[in-house]
Formats: sequence, C-alpha cells, structure tokens
Amino acid sequence: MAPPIKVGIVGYGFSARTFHIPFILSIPDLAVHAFLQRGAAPSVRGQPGSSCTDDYPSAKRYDNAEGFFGDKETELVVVTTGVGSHAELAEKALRAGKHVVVEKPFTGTSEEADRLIALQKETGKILTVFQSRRYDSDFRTLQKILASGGMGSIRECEIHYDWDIFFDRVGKTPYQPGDGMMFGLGSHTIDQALAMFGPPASVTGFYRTIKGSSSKTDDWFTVILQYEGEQAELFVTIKTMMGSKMKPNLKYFVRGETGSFIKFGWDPQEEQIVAGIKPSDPSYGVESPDIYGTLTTSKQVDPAQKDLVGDGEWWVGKYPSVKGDITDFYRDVVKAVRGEAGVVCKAEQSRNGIKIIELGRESAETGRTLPFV
Amino acid sequence: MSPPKPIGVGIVGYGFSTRTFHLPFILPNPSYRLVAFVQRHDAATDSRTGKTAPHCTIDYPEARRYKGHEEFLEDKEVELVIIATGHSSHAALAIAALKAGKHVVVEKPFCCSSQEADQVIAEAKKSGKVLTVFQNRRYDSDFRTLQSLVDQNVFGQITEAEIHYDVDFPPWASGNPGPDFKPGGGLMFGIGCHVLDQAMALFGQPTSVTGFYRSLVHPSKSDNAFTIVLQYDPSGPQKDLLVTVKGSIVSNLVYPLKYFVRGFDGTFIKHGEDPQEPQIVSEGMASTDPKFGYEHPDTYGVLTTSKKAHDSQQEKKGKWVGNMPSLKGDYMGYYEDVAKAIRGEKELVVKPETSRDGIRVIELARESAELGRTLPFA
Repeated sequence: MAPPIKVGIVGYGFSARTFHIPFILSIPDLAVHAFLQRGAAPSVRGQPGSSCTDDYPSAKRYDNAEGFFGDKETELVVVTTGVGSHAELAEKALRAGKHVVVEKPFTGTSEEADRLIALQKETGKILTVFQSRRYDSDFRTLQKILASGGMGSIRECEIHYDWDIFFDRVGKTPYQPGDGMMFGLGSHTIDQALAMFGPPASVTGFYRTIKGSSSKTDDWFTVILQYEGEQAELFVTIKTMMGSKMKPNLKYFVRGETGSFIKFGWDPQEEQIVAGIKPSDPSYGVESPDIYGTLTTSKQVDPAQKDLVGDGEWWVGKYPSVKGDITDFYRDVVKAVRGEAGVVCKAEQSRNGIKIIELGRESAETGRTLPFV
Repeated sequence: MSPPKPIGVGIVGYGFSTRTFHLPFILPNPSYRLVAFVQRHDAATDSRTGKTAPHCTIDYPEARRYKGHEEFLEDKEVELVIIATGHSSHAALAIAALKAGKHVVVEKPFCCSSQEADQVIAEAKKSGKVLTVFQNRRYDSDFRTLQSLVDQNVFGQITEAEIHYDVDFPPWASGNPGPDFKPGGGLMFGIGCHVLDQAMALFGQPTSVTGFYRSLVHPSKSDNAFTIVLQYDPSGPQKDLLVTVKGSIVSNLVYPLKYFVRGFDGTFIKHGEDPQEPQIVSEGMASTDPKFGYEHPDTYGVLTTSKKAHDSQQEKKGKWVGNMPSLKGDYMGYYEDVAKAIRGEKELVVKPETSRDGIRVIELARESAELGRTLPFA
C-alpha cells in the first residue's frame, strides 16, 4: 500500500474538527501531519478551547504561515479558516507546491477564484473545494432518482436550505464579499444546482436583510437560474430563510414531465459527528425513514412505490434515501492526488457558484435578470 | 316581515362553467330567482353518438331562453347578469349589461387587458350598479383556511408566501396554442388570475412584479408555466415579504403543492385542492349536501409554530406541529355575499378593482419576463 498522504490543516475550529479531521482519520491513505493554528483555539459549545497538539500530540503545530507551508513533508493542505483568508492561504499552499482543499465558500469573489484556478494550472497540483453537500444523503438520493430518468425531463427544481436560527455574523455593516447567507448556505445549494444542471444562462436574485435591517448582509435569499438550449424549459429556484419555523424543513421540490420528488429534512452527518458518532459506524449517514422523500412517477421506478390512487396513472412511495458520507469526498481527493481519477469537486464549478452569488446580489439590487458569464 | 323579493338572475352562456360553478350555488339560494339564459345555438343531437349537448331549454324549461344578449338585456325581470362566456367577450358584455341598468358578475378572467377592465369599472361607477368578478377561489376550502391563519397572526411577520395552481396536463391547457399570444389566453389568464387574486386578497397591491414564463411542449409566446414574484412597499410593514405565485401544467403529484407560507413564528404547507368542483362534477353531489366543501383529511395542511396556535397541534422537538383541519369550501358564500352587496347590506367582497389589478400584474409579468427586469406595479 502507498504511504499515506500527509495532510496539513489550517485552522483548528469547529469546521476542522467536525467536517475534516474525522474523515481524514478514517482513511488510511491520509495522515494528519501538521496544523497551522495561529491563536489559542476558540471555545466551542461551552468547552474550553484546545490546542491541536492536545488532541493530536504526534502532529506538528505551527503558529506561522512560513513554517507551516515550508514543511516539505506536507503534501495536501486543507484550508478551514473563514472565507476572508481562503484566497491568500490557498495561493500560499499552491505556490509551496502543495495540493489544496479549500473550505466553502471557495473565495469571497469570483476574481479571487479565477486567479487561484490560473495558478493551479501553472503548478499542476490539485485544487478542490469542500463542496461536502454533494455527499449528503438527500442530494445523493435526488441524483439517483434523476439518473433513473423516472421523472422525465426536469422542468422545475426548488432547492432549500432553511435554518431555525440566525447566525451572529448577519447584520454587520458594511457588507464584505463573502458575508451573508448566499455565501454561507447558498454556496452549498447553488453548487448542488450546478452539479445537477451545469452552468445557467441567467441569474435573477432577491434578498432581504431582515435581522440586520440597515445592513446589506443577506439572511434570506432567492436565486432563480434559467438555462439555454436543451434545458431552456428548466426553472431552478434556490432559497434560504433564516429563522424558519418548520420541522422538518423543506429541502427539495423537483418536478419533471413524468414525475415529482418532494423531500423534507436534512442529511444527518453533521448532527451525528457532533454527537460523537464515527464515520465508520454503520448508522453513520443513514437517514431516518421519517424523512424519506415522496416520489411520484407515471411508471414504477422503485419497489417502494404503490399504485396509490388505483388507476395506474401514478406510482407513489417514500423513496428510501441513499447513505450520505463525507468520507467519500476525501476518498475522491486521494484518487485525484494519486492521479487515479479526475477531481470531482472542480474549482471551476465553485468559481461558477461564487459568480452566481455575485450576480444574484447585483440582480437583486438592480431589479434585473443578468446573463451568466 | 316578509323576506326580500328574490333577485332575478340571467346567465349569458350555458357551458361547463355555468353548470358547474354558478347554477348549483344560485338555485338553492332563496335570494335569487332564475329568469333567463342566453344560449346562442339551439339544442342539437349529435347524429353519430345520439347524445344531446346540454341545453338550457332542456334542463330549465321554465326559464326564458334568448339567442342574443340585446333582447336578453331588455328583459326587465333580469336584475343580475352573470357573464359566463369566453374571455374575449367579457368586457363588451359587461359594459352592455351595466348600460342596461343591471348588476353584473363577470367570470374570470375579468377582461383580456387592464385597459378593458378600467373601462368596465368606469361604466359601473356611472351606473351605480354592483359590478363584481367571479373570483370564486376566495371561497375555496384551502384558501379560507390559509386566510384564517393569516388573520389570526399565527405566522408573525410573514417573510414568504408561495401560492401554486398546478394542474397535470389538463385538456383545456394541453393543446397547441399556436405561436402567438392572444390577450386573455395562456395559463396566467386561465388560472393565474385565481392565485394572483388570492395573493392580493391576502397581501394587497404589490409595488413590483417580476415574471417568468414558459410554453412547455409547444413553442409559443403563450404560457403554460409561469412564476410571478411580487414585492411590496419598501417603506411599509411588508417590505421584507416576497410572494411567489406559480402555475404549471407539469405536476405529477397526487396532491399538488398549493401553499407554502412562512413567517418568523410559523410555517404552513399544504397540498391538494378545494373539493367543490370534483364534488359537483365527478360525484354529482348537491351543493346543499352536509359533506359538500369538506376536504379529505389527507390534504389537511401542516402547521408548525413556535407557540401553540391550534388544538390539532402537538409539541415536537420544541415546536408545535399539527395537521390543520381545513375550513369548509363555500361557493354558496360567494353568491350570498353578492346578494348582500346588491341589497346594500354588506360591502362587496370581490371588488372589480382587485381583479383589474390582477390583470395588470399578468401584463407586467409578461413584460418583465421578456425584458428580464423587475417592473414597478403601476
């Protein structure tokens, strides 16, 4: 077996601990080698802050970028800091000859993203973005249904990501690129739309700053994507509402010429990790049947569907959800680093996601549908 | 005190609409007396099938039958005229009826343009008679349920309302409309006028309109799928509200999504449709039947709130959740309200100005879609 790829992680906050380390640890092809942790770790959920070396005594701890990026043994860098430092850190990593995983949102501007993509081409290393929600149980389920063709050509797709709470950073003035929920949560849902349907032809956006009122930082948005060519009849709506009182929240409402799929609830992985369940546990990533989506199609696609109305016109059933597993993100990264497969979460797609957010804000402010370029 | 004299009713048109949506709610109501119909063509039997098309002279021989509206409007016993013809004749017939001193109910869509609607409204003001539009879906079970929740403020500040009217490839909207759009044609006029009216009944006049539409299956400038986004006065209490009104002929669900309304204190999501039309058409139920207008519990909406708002709710993970029993659908109520307005007992519920605004929204939605711009409502 090839020696594990040594991973250097920038940051040791909630993201590193919840979304990266558990998966890196569960793959023998990856090894936690070093951290760049500049200050003392922030306290998380009432626990006192910890230093990465308390938890990973065999890992190296750097408190300066030069030392961290100069470590010749590190092959793959994972950037888990706030969006404001993503571009700077990713650039340092690429210039130091490392492969890079950047947390979402990729960058604060599409211009930064374009620069990183150009730099990646020069270095020939892997540049990818942690679009982890491509590995969510519900998204994988929807993709499987789309691949089956049971719904026919898709005409409408509504993707939601609504939260009961408000995040603290909403409402801070003035607005900085990278702020707001289009970046915070839209970077996931817009990416899912890009993964399913490719780049759009136009973007129409609406947003509100409800809690922050005078701020231009959005905590509610609607982004409408329209398409060209064979997809000219497709209409995609992406929405987020903070402070949504609904349990479980609506996630997907997809309609095609021969079927529809409606699903509520969330992928369970984040909650499970926080509760201490390991990715290797058999229950990991497995949804409760309570939140299976309802699939209605004109011909039976899944044995769970029944001829509910009794006239043979529609087959309806709760479609069992596919297992979600963020570990696969890292398995895919390993394959890409080793040249065994192409990059799955392509930097260009994430760049397109950032561009859609920029156009969504501009559209909302000008009252115009804008061409996607 | 003797009951008031019934209002004499004359109906122009004897098609599906008249027989399904009007007569069952007029005939049992003692405030009305059926006087006359206008039905242009004589009763005819199809020589192939032996079937006779419905005819007012066969079904209501005691009522008068006119072949044209001019003579019909001279009938002094007709006090209220119901216009149930094709869209393009609505405005002209309404004006003629008002000029003849009649009260008027116009089927939806009110007219084919906001300009026509303005002309009809002006004529009504001159005549002093009641002019209203058959926005019967304000009396739908599901809309009445939603309206009662809004009135009780269970949502707190409403941030979003999505109102759908999706019908799975209906025969009346699946044919080839031809390449051109005709004012009054398309799905926005056909059923959008219902859901836009519901949006306006709940939230009032918008200040901007953003429209999108498609002609699915057949290339055309007519529409059979649409999305209309309404926004409101940025200096008022609804400045953060976004209302999305949608309709499509692509809808493969047993119970189509109808309402999805969200506020800071609660959410309501509902599938299904008002049962009155299928009860009349498929079940042959009388409008006076005690079961009439009641939905099947499968289509009750789900109400989630942060504080308990209704007895049907139970606590679940810090929220109150329950299937909200729907209120009764009540098309009889439409005609009861019209009678009260004619008698001056109650303010007119469905105001023609609101329907005119609905048509204006449709015009702006089409223009917005074509320009790729949000347009001010004016």
